[in-house]
This record gives sequence, C-alpha cells and structure tokens, in this order.
Amino acid sequence: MDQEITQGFGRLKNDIARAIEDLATLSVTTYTGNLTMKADKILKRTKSGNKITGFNTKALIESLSDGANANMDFKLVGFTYLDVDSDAVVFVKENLTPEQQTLMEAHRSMVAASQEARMAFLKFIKELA
Amino acid sequence: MQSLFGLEAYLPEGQLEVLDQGRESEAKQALIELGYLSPNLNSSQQTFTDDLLDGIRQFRKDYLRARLIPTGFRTEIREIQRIEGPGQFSEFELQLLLRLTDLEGSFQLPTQYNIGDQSLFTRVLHYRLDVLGLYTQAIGQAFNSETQKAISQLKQWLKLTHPQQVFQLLGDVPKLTQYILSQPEYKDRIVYFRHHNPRHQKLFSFEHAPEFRREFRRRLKQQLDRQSTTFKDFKKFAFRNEKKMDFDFLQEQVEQDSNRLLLRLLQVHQWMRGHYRGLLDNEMGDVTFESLLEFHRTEVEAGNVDLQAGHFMMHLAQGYWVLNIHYLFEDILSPEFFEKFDTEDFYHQFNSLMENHSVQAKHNIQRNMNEVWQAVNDEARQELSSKKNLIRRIYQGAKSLFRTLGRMIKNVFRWLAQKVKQTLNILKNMVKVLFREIREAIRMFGRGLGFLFGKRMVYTPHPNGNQGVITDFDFDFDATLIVPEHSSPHLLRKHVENCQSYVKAMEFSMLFTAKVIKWVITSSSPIGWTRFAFHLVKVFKNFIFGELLRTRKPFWI
Repeated sequence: MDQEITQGFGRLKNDIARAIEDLATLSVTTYTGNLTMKADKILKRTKSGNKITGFNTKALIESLSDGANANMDFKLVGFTYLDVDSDAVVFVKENLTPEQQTLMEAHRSMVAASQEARMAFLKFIKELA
Repeated sequence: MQSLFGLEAYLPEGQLEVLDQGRESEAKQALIELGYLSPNLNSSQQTFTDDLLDGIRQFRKDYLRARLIPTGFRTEIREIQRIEGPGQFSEFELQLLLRLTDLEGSFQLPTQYNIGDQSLFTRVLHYRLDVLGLYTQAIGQAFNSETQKAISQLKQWLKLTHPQQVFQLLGDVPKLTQYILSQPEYKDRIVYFRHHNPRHQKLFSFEHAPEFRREFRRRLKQQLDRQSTTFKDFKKFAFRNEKKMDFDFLQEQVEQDSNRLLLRLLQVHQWMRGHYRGLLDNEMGDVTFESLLEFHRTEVEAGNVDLQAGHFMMHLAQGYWVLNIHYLFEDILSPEFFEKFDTEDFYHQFNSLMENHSVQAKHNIQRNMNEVWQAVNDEARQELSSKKNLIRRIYQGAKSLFRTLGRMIKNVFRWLAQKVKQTLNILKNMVKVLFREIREAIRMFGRGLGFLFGKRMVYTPHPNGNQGVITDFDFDFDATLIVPEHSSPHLLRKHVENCQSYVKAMEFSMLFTAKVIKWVITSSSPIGWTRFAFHLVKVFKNFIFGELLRTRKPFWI
C-alpha cells in the first residue's frame, strides 16, 4: 500500500511532464454568438430538468468544433497570440459595435488572466523540479 | 466589510464549495449555539427539518446583512441554494460558524450596541454570555435589558470602565480567566461546591486518603495570603471536623456569584479542552466531577506526576467540597500550555513519532482511530445522547484541544494503540478535529489536482436564467471565451471577476499541491496513508501561514 502511494505520485509527475507540450506560446480567443439552442447540450441537468448540475465538456467541445463549420452562429471577436520572445499577434474584428467593444475589454482582461494562470502553472512546475 | 480573518481562503474560487457529506452535524451544532436552531429534539423529524431550513435561511440573511461576505458572492449563495437545495451548507458557511462560536479570541465583535439591535453579532454576544452562565434569555433575541444587565455585571466584577473591554474579553476565555484571577478580590479566592456522590466522597475522605487533607491545606497556604479573609474563614468555618463545621457559611459561599462564576469558568475550560461533554450549568454534577478526574489523569500522563486530585480539591462533609481554584488554574493556564505547543508542532510531532512505530503498531493506531471516528459518527447520528433531550454540546474550537494533546502526544499513541477507555472523550474530540483538518487539506489538495487535470471552465450564469458566459482554459492555459450575444457589461464584468478569482485560487492550490507531490516523490521511504494525511495537513497549515504572513493577513487556524 505504501509503495502504491509513492509510485502513484511518480506517475503523476510523469503525466504532468508529458502534458506540458507548449508553454512557449499563449493564445486567447473570444467568440460571441447566439447559443440559445446549443446551451442545453452543454449543461448537465437533473432528471426533471429543473436544476443545472454541471457542464458536459465533451458536448461543448464538439459544439465548438461544429460551430466552426455550420451549426453554430459564432463570430470571432478577438484573438491574441503571445510567444516567449514577447512577439504578439492580435486580431480584432473590424467595425466593432459599442457592444463588441465591451467584449474586447473582456478579451483583454482574459489575456491578463491567462498570463497570470500560466505564471501560476510555471511556479507549480518550478516547485516540482 | 467586516474583516474575515483568513476566511477569504474559502471565497476566491468564484463559486462557494458545497460542504462535504457528513459534516452537517458540525454546522447544526453551531447553529444551535447561535440560537438559529432549537436544541430540543422532542419535535418530530419533519418539524426539525423545517426548523433547520428556517435556521439556515435566517443565518444567511444575518451574515449577508452583517457584511461578512463580499456582495458579489450573494449570487453564488443563491446558486448553491438553487442547485443543491436550501438546506445545503457551503464550506465557507461552516468555517464562518466555527469562527463565530470560537472562544479563543479568533473573532472580534463590534463594540457598539443599542437596545433593540438584532443581528448576527448580538447572537454571538448572547452566545458568549450564555456560555458563561450570565444570560438566560433566547440567544436570537434583540439586544435587551437582560443583555445590558449581564454586561454590567461582568463589567462590575472585572472592574472594567467600558463595556467595550467586556466585549473584547468575552471572546477569549483563557484571557478572560487570567484577567479575572488577577483582580484583587479574586486573588485569594477558593471555590466551594456541592457534590453528592458517595463513591467520590469516599475516594476523597480523610479515612481513605488522609494525606490529601494535609497536602490540600499546605498548597492552599502557598497559594493564598495567610492573612486574607478567605484563608482565615476557611480555617475557621470549613477546615474543621464535621461537628464544628459551619454549614451556613459553606452554603453562603456556594451561592455567591463570584463562586459560581469561577466554577462556571472551570467547566468552560474543561469543555474547551475536550474533557467535559455535558451541559454547561454551573453545577458540579457527576460529569463535571469526572472531567476533573480525567484532567488529573491526563496531566499525570503528560508528566505532571506530582499532581494529585486531592491536592486541588477536598471533600469537607455532607457533600460540601472545596477547590483550590488558583492552583488548578495555574496548571490549566500555565504558560507552557499556551506557548510550548501549537497546531503545527502537534502535526510535526505526530509525524515524527508515527515514523518510530512498528508497522503493526501503526496499523493498530490507524484501526483504532477509525473505530473512534466511527464512534464519533454514531454519536452525531444519535444526537439524543444527552439529558433533557438536548443535543450534546461539544466545543468545536481546535486550539485548546491541540494544546492539550500536544502536552501528552507521546501518550496519545499509547492510548490509541491500547484503547484506554478513560481517555475516550479526549480521543473522540481529537479524532474529530484531526479528521476535520485532514479533510480540509485533502480538499485543497484535490482542488489543486482538479485545476491540473480537471475541467478548467469558468461559467458565469445569467441572472435571468439565460445563457451565461464561459471561459475554457486548456492544459497550458490558452483560453477560449464564449459570450452570448447582447450580454450586459455587468455580466461580462462579473465573469472577468470570476476568472480572476479562479486564477488566484488556482495559484494557491497548485503551489500547495506541488509541495505535497514533491515531498512524496522525493521521500526516501514508502509513504503510508496516515503519514501522507498528516503531512498533508502540516504542509497545508505551514503554507496557509506563509501565505497569510506574505499578505499580512491574520493567521486563522
């Protein structure tokens, strides 16, 4: 039993090492769209359907990839790509409406949050090393 | 907003976490203490459940009104109620309840009240006065003339000039006791009480243990000023043979307010340390008396081998007893008790000592801990184990208990391994608190693993039930933000705040998790579950302590 704990954590460390594939770049993508019909697919509900109990991640990811084709009415509003050398690519939809400009502010905040999260992840790895 | 003194750790995740199963009894107990729930279990299960729901609703209303939680979290509280049902507690709520009912100085009350004020704070004030036996009205009542009377009484007894000083001392029983004992009129006090139990009387009789009588007097001489009225009266009216004893004097002493206050304080200390699990009632009944004997036994186990119960209490005659309260409190409130051990020391020592045991001994300790834990759970389920159909009142603070255990940590293993019955009360409390803290650390560890390998999705619901905003972070924190059309700026702001909170909580949990993983994988020997659990708590506590030092927030565990 004692061996199992130690070995289990050893495997955990290897999993983390394998999973870190691309820490050199960071991308943030912002979409807006009408999700009315699709939301039901991504939310888990109780049997009666009255209460939301969580998310169906798989369905969401599938919906997102479908959305790129035809099924979802998504518009790309902003895309930010940063690499380790601080090179950056920023895409912003042209002719933003005032409402979409608010979206861009949220997008910028999300870039900051992702950078902070990335930093936390790097600290985690440093601590493990 | 009122300072939460570290409870912020339960808030930053953007969504309050639902309480683990099996911990509701802890919350119920605290709700009873604060008068949100009746302790009377005569009512039917249905009525009790309805009362519980009403109590929880009122508690939520009160802490929101007291501004003990940021306004933004009101939505999360409503969300928990909507999804889980109104009777579901959150981790934050349990921690808040435990903080509010703590009597060791971890929650400072506001110091201004007027007649008619009714709030969470007046409940805490009434609870503290009730514990000391100074307030007998309903805890949930508004600040009233009885409250004022109790505060004035205490102010007068303690010779304080402002009621505010009373409020400060009320929440810290050890400090309050030290303050009381240092007052001139309490400096030479001894406590008289009545206790009719032939077995106990025989145990402490002159015939059975003549040396107790001499030793009691000798120690009393050391403690008190020999010229004091107390000592002279003791010699003149009490320390006589039965025929010459003045029973009117003894009865008068028993009924004195100051005598009752000191006896109550002693009972409260016994309760806080885990020796006493009965009602707080100013009476020296069998349970209180046995708790003193247990205290004595555990002190001797801790190495205080010279201490004899007969040195601090003596049966006079006809059920009248005398207690050398200064001598007893000197031991209870000794600086070593407060300074030598802290919670971190306890876990550190627990780990080191555990390492030195054989595999078989470790197995026995673990098995017996589980059995004690089972007994604690059975007790919580029965709940009817106390007299008068009242739920057993157990102090849920951890500091005093850990100090008590810290003093006798080497014996704790022996008690556990050999299942020493006389120490069952203290072991039950220990296991309850240990398991509570282990679960806390495991929860934080699990949260860290969840951030690493779980869903990394932040969802902010629309207040009207329409679609909310979603951010999905992938493994290396690339983010996808999906915003429904025509979302309000307010909803977006809220979502950004949620994401920021998520990231902050993640940083905290992942660093903690990394420390634990590193310890396990670099350990030179295999690690068992017990060792893992205790190390988890130790790292958790050190980590929280470090974080709070860094952010200059007060330490809360």
